Amino acid sequence: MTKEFDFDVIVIGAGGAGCAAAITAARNGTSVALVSKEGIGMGNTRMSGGEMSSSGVVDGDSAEVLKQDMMRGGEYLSNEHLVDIIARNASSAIRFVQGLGHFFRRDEQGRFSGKAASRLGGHSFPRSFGGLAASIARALRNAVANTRSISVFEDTLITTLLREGDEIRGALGVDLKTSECVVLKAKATVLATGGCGWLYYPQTTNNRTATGEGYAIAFEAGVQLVDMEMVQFFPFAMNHPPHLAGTLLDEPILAGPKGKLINGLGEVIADHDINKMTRAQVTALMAQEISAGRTTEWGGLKLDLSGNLDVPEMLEFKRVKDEVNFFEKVRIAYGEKAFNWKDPWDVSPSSHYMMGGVKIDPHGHPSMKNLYAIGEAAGGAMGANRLGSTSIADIFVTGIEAGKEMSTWIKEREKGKISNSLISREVEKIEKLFGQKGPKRPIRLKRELQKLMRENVGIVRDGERLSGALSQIDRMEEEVENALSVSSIRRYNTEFLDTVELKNMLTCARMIATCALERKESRGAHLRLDYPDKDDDHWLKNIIIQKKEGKMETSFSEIEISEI
Amino acid sequence: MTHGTWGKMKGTRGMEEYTIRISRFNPEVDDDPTLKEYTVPHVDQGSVIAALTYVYEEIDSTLLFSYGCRYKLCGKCAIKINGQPGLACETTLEDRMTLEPLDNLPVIRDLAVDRSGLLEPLRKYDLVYSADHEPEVALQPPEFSQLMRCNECLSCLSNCPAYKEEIDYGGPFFGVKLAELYYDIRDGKKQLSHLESFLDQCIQCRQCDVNCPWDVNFSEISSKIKGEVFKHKGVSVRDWLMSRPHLVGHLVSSVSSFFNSLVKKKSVRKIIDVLLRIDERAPFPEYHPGKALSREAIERTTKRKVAYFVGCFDRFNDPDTAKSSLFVLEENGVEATAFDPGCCGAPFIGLGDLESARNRAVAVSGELEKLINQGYDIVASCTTCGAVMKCEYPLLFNQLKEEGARTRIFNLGDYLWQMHEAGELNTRYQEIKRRVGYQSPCHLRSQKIGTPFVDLLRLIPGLEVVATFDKCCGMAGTMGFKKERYELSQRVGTPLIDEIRGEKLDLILSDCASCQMKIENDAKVNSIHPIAMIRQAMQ
Repeated sequence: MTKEFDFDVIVIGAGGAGCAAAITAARNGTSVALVSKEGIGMGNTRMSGGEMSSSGVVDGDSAEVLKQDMMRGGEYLSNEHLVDIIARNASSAIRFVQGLGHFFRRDEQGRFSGKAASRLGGHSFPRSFGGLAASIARALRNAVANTRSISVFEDTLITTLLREGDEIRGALGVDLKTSECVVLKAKATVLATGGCGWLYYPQTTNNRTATGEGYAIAFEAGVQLVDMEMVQFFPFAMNHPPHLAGTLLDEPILAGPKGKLINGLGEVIADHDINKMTRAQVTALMAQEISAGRTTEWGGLKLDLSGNLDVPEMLEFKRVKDEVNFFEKVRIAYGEKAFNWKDPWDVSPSSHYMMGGVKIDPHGHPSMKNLYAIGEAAGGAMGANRLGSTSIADIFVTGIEAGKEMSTWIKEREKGKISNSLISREVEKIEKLFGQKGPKRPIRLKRELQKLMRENVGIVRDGERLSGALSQIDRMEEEVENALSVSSIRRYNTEFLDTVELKNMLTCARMIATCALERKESRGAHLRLDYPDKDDDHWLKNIIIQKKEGKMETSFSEIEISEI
Repeated sequence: MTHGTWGKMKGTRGMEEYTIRISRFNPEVDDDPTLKEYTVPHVDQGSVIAALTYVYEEIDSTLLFSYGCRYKLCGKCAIKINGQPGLACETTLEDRMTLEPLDNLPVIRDLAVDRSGLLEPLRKYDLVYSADHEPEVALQPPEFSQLMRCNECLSCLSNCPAYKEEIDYGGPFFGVKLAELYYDIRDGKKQLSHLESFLDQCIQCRQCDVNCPWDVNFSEISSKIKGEVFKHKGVSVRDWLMSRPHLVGHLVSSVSSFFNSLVKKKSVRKIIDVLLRIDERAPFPEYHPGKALSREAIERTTKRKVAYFVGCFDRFNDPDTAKSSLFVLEENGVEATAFDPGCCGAPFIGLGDLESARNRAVAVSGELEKLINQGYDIVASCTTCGAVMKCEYPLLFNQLKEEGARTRIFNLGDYLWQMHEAGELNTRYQEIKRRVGYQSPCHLRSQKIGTPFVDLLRLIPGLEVVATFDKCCGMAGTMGFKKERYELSQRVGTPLIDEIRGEKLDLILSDCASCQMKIENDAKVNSIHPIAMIRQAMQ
């Protein structure tokens, strides 16, 4: 049985960006459906580090300086307009988050001042405010629950964007608890689906739900994506024991001024100011050693923090983190001495953020009508590498902007019709996935794909392995069509969920590998052994990827840089 | 409820494979959950999540379980592990573990519970932050940071005996959300009226604290808030009297036989019901002449010195328990003194009269410190008095500040068991051929020290502890007597009473007087303090 609903707006994804867009639109009188694969605020926003960049609180800092930092951090691949929007609006986004009830950590006098802000790698000034990420998620959830014109659809997996002509008129999804199809018709659809870090499980800091739904369904609908080769690997993540491998430790700031990176042979790779480096710079350093096999038994490097034990700011840093038991898992996995910085930490880079995504203009519009993409689902603002704390700023800035903008035209616009045949076709495709009798369970294929990505489309890439990965992806896509075994359970069918996620992951994997193969240089998060240098002469351009006549095609777009 | 003994679960390192049991249940096709066995490889420090993932990948990918961050950030993976709620991501896997979904929440399938019903209380009670501006200076109170630790795993809801999905109460989860706003120095609304309705349903059994992975200690906050509400309200004659059992005891004890026969009459209970609003269906304690029980210790040659705390119930309602306790201690060579500094203050805390409670805490702590400095260990036979002195005095009233002081306060069962583990307990017990049950009181469970009296009782030859009950009896100290709280008390306590009736035993042992009274009144089964059994075995 298929249920149909009508709304002004559908927001797909209920993290920071999705909730901000839904709340803003609803406050302006728009009827909103907020759809989430699990619960409201249960995705990556909840498990992030919780740091949010402002536009500047310290003398000398400003939105302009933040923008320059982000452009430089993105290695000049960023869309300058998008960066500009984030930089100019970051501070008002902070006020929005405070207005929802989140409490950022303040200084000793209880002031929200520069003294409470941290200076993260790549930032010229202290401007990032910390707090508990879960508190942001809770504040969002409470606000959503109490905003009358938001209808909440939890445990609902969106499988398809419903497109008529060159317009998106809604989305089709499945209520996972009942396996019933849900058709959501709307005048505007917002993709706030986050990233695809789970492609690299277990070598990821992400939550289980980060399987790239938004990228895949946008691609299938013919929407353009950009910068898909730019996958950020967060340098300092755990690598053992197995169930903690991939989980996040902390920013390069953790290394302090005197932290050292030591490879598997005991050689010191870097011994000062690692805290000032960007994530991409540290990962690149580590990548060299990792690709040459000069690693610890766990495949990582050793981070020696003992030098910071006589640095007052770092002791304060430790005190603040220990107050909220931030590094409890280090104590358990690596021991008490490591917890107290006396023994080094075994660290490996872990897939963390997708700089790429749906290509948008400065208003958040992708290449198709009545569609928006915000937060990590959108691409282009972060270029080849993202600075810490800018994502939380981005999700709120873009969420609020989209919510405001939609409200300006939504009431005047007529809703487009969706043909019944389109709906029944798509519903049939979904129904066919249940009760398949092939030889392989979808989780097995998912794990194969994740292994393929880690080993061939990971931190360090080369042409041969990337091409090999693409052939394997071909093979896997065939298996998905023909060889899967899926149960017929109706009450939350985990194998059905695996299948849909797997299809989306394969689409993302193909996009990532294709664009990575295309970009014949190393820049930011994209590192190629066969093209180890940055090539500004040929590669100051973005790779765009799109479905054209059933095939994945790439094209280029030159960077427009104004005054940098 | 558990049958037989599982004993303590020991770590089983060095084994190649573990056998675990996972609850499988599809409400659409199954009538009841079943526990299925699975074999998983042992991995050093392997978590429960890792084991579930293994089962999912290698054996059965229809298994439904929730997880997200894999280490203690998101709160999604809470399940019942060996009957106790816990986070699957931070719990190390052990052999023969039983994995089940949380209690009290609708089960989607297998281990996953449906959280969507929690949005309703958020709406209904207007749980949203409101402040017209962000203040320039904001120093949050310590309660705020304490509450912020909550990551919403819902373990507290699983434990809460008052939370049932079909009633209008969001349980400790809802309480924490309300309190977060209440203690946020920036929030304008100060939700006192919603807090009052919340507190109406909270019976302060403290079970929400027992398995909280982040030590939010919500019951401490709940007590504080109850104190805030109390300040705004008057106190009825009934509540004034019921919070002063020592005073009432003194008044009644002089005419105890007359009083006891009077309150046995249905007509008298009816009058008390109407005048004082003490429900006529509720139990009623029996009073004794109230002779003073405090006395000096008889000198012994052993190194152990115990100061036995004479509780109100000991003194005025059940002096046999005090006498049995002292007998057992002395027969084990302990130099035992009994002291009676007056009420520990638990009924004041229950009522929210924190000012009076503080006076009691200060007075009693003074006595405790004196005795501790003289080398005495403090022992209480009532689990509530023990819990209040050990936990509430330091947490709520900042008494017994020295770490050492708190570790010298014991529950009787715990003290005797520790003597046994040190090889100092006389266990030459006579045979008692009897089948009994044991009811573990809420205030014992909130101390997380297991059930030492069950361990002790198992040393008596012939005595069979057939079942250990661990559900709240619903009395919540004095709550179950009150007319307007009787319905809630019944709703909470009926599952326990039904279980006890189902076991068809003629004696239930419990170290809480309220549990004893409730069991006798409602299950019609005799209920006494377990120390009486131990005394009997030593005579």
